[in-house]
Amino acid sequence: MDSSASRETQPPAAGRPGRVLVVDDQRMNRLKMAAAVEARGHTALAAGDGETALQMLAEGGIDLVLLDIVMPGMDGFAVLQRLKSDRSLRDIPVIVISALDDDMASVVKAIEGGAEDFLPKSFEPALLKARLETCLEKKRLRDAEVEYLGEVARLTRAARVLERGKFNPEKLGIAEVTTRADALGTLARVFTAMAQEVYERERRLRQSVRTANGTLLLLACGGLWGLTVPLSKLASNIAPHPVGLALLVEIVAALICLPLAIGRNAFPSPRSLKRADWSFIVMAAFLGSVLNQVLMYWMASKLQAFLVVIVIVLEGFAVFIMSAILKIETPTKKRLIGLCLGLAGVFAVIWMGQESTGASTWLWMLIALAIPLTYAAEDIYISVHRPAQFDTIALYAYVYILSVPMVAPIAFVLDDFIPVELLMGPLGLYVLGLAAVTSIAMILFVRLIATAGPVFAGQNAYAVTAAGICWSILLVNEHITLGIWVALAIIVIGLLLVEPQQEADPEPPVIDGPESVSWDAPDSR
Amino acid sequence: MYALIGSDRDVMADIVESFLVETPLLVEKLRSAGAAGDLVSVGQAAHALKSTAHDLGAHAFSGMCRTIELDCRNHSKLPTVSQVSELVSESALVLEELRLSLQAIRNGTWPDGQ
Repeated sequence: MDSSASRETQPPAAGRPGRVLVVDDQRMNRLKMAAAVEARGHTALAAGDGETALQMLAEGGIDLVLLDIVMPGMDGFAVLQRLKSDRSLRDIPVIVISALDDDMASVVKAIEGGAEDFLPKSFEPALLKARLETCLEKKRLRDAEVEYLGEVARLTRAARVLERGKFNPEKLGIAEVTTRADALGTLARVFTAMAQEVYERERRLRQSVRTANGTLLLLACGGLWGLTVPLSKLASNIAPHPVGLALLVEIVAALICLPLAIGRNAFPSPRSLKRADWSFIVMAAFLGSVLNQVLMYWMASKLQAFLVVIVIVLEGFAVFIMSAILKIETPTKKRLIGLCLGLAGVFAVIWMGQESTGASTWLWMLIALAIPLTYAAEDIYISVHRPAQFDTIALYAYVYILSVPMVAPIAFVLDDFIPVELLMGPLGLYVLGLAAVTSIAMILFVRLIATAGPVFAGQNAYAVTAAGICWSILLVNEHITLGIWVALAIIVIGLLLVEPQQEADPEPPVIDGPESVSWDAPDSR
Repeated sequence: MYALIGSDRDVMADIVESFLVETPLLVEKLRSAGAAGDLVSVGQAAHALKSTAHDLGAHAFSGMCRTIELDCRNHSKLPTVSQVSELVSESALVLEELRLSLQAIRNGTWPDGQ
């Protein structure tokens, strides 16, 4: 309906203007009613029959209907009946238009059918204005009530979510309710604040548990792995064949892991492995056996055991830098300080160790520096590519099995096999011990990475160093000064400053709603 | 009615035009339905003519339509030939008067010049 510049328009008495649908089969009546509605400051739409009216109502945005009763086809009663039986439309008020003087029965029938009011065909403008304002105000109140009830329903659903033990405030779905300035908004804010508190408490608890679990695994892992250098030192003292030693250790480790995996019914057939699984196995075998173990056994045959274990501690620093570059974990100031402390302790041990041995071993120390880099690369690779569906023991059974054909050719080329007769004596025990310790420590290490992330797992190197020094004193009779013990204490402090990886869920935002509080009934906004 | 529609001359012209178009059709519908004995259609046509004519001041015409509507609804009685004839004559007079009014509206001389 176009509004004319010459039309005298009055503003609506209360609240904002409404959208009024005029339903009449007579065009003249539609024109008259629509103009009358717009002259009173509202927006008018028109429909010439019942079906069109219902379509327009279904599109939404109608606040009031002026409905003629007598229409051909679908009459006003049928329209009213359809409207009131539709849940989404039944709250729209209807004023029926009829000639009061000769059609009272129809008016009564319409009101009994749900019409709010009626208007005679010939009505005074003041009467139209009054009826429009009253019905539109009722509609506004009803809309506010429906909105309020909707938000109460959302709070109720949020309560059910909390009942199920889910406390993340962002997942309650009541962020909009918290912005209300009334009592409901206050309730929503209190709800959310309490949920946030519980959620934070649970996050901190989970963090503590993960730290505790991670620390226990780290100490167990470090304690076992610390044995590998002294044991390989003892083995090298009998027969310095690092590649042959690595080969034997892989064979025995495979013989330990394979029956365990089969016994637990966790060993998948080779045909069921995907390309990604094979890639991981091949790479883990190369990094772990060909590089790490051969290098370590070789250095153990050239240097004092405690010096080799100390070099390994640099792995933590290498993992930290690689993880930060690959954006696997977030580098923080605290972690950096922890790593620097550990590093300072390591260099102090090396310096004091050098003085006590009196030997110039810097060249071998330089070569030994490759060990922490290969260990760091192995850490990162496992954390990123480990097939999660694989049982760890079964996975490393495959890794050790595949390591054998990788290391055997190197041993053959270098003629580095250990004579079989030597295996009958103490060397055999050292090999057995090395294999058991390596396989168990590796399995624990993979668990550690899954629990606490690669940066924390990389601190395993500190635990290996500390344990390695202790085992070196016990098994190889190496002498450790007080200064070295102090340096070791500094290393442990550095270890504690590096926490497990952060939660996957970010911290939810703190809710900050309006200050005013009202305990009144819902107001129409 | 002019005050009711906000004293909008253009809308008033539209309304009068609409009446001028629809009324002959409704009168013909009433006449032919009456001849065919269709009580419902006669009643509907009379009902439509009654209120629109009243709004435009054609009270005599409106009264005739009202009588026919009530006869159909309350007494199930079709209009007589003379009733229909009178209605047709009256409608012609009303239409002629409203054509003149429409001219006046368009010229801007209505309602002040009336």
